[in-house]
Amino acid sequence: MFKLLVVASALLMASTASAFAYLDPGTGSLVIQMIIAGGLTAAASIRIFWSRIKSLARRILGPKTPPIDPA
Amino acid sequence: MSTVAMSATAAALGAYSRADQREFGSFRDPSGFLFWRGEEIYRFVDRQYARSFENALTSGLYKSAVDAQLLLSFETLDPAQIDIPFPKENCLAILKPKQIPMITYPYEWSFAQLKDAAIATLNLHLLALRHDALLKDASAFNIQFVDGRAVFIDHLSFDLVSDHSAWPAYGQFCRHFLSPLLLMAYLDVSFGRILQLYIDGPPLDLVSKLLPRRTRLSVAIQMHLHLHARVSQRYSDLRGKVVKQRSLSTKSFVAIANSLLRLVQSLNPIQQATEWGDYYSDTNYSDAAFAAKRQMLRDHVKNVAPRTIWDLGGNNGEFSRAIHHLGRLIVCMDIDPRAVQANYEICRRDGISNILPVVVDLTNPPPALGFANKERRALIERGHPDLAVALALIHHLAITNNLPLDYIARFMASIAPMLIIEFVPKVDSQVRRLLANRPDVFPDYHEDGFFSAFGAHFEIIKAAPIPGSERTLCLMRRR
Repeated sequence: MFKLLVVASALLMASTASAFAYLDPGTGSLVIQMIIAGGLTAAASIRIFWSRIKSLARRILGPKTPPIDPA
Repeated sequence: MSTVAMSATAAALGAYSRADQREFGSFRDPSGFLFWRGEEIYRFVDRQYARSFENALTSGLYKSAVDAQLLLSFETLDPAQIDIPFPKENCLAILKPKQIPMITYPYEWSFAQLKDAAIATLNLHLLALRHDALLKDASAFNIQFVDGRAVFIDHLSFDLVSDHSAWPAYGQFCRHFLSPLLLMAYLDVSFGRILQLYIDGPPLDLVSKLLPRRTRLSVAIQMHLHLHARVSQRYSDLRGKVVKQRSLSTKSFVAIANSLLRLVQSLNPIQQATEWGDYYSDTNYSDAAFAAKRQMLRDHVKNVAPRTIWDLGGNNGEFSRAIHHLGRLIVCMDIDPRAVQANYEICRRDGISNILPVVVDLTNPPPALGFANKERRALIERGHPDLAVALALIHHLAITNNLPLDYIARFMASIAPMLIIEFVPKVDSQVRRLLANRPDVFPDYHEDGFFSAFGAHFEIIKAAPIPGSERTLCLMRRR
């Protein structure tokens, strides 16, 4: 999805044409969310997954906390 | 429409807003409206807003939002207990919000203020999503700076998330916040004032055309602005309903808001030198004269004992901060967005919450705007300070802008009953610099001319030279 988004973005790099009348600027704002939502949600999941891996790695490889002295 | 018809319409609108005491700017939302009782503002909550209102109350959304200082604090009043000039059958509740002493508009904020306002809006939307709700409005005019913080002021902007297939305020957020921030980050900080021209935010296709090509390499800017502009154009003249087939999941709502949040947080104002950015390192004041001026100013302010102060041409707030403990609120105005931003950042850093820095060109102050010129009020009508302070300002008005001293005196008298003003004579190096490359067509610009012009509108209570400088500091009372 991310690749698709980048390709789509690249295709849309040509400058936007003029629009002199907005009949309903709201519709486009809803449609664009449908287009980007999938990619952004997937990216968010990857980000969470990655941060979990990092914290797991830190726990395994990082310095061990010294045991609390019962005295 | 003829002039007569237009003025008749204006008169009718005036009568309408006075008759029922409704705040004129609050006409868009059917969920309720703002109204005045004497000097205090209240919010009428309509019965049709019941489901969303109950959810915001019972889910703890209102409480968490107020506790997080994202939403203006308020009391809920029982309509039966309060006398209101409206029929009560449609009234669900009356809210009494914390009263805001000075309303400012987004086109009067520096980059950092608009950025903080954008972040507060997104954080509130994210908080609402955790309570089965969302922000249905993301207007920059719904944010005010209260006690030094950006807070959302519209208590009826929450809707149930289940009633929406996508974030209804997404387009508004991109126009009101993202567009001006991107223009200020990539082109010029003075673009903050574009919201004065486009009261509902600049059109996305215009912003897309103005932004440099390199912004297309950023995936986030590409999505939220350029692609958004293209899709909006594509659907602008399409008839019929389009988005009804599916709804976004809450995860998707959160992902879109977080993506905007990361983008906004990454933006910084473009580096550029402005007129007054380093004014204080470039004056003819010795440290001793600076300290003397500060002390004289404090003495005058103590004499006046004001509640609210307007510091006109206050630069980065150096002198506002010298007197901030002597008043309840100081609105510090300057033409330079960088100086205003510096003031805002210093106040945040030092925990000073009663200075409100705003970008204002005093030779062209923000006018009344919007429908019937009544939605947004003119700057001068929004506050009634007890004291105006005008330090090192008069030469910029009189010499740079050719304003007659009498006009300046009249304008100052219209602002506040008391005035502390510094006269800067022609022998001062700052004035010499202003006159270096222009003919001196200001024969009346001298101390006698100053006192004669101001004396017509003010009683001069005290006038004393500032030791170590050529300047005079005066305390005046309006006649």
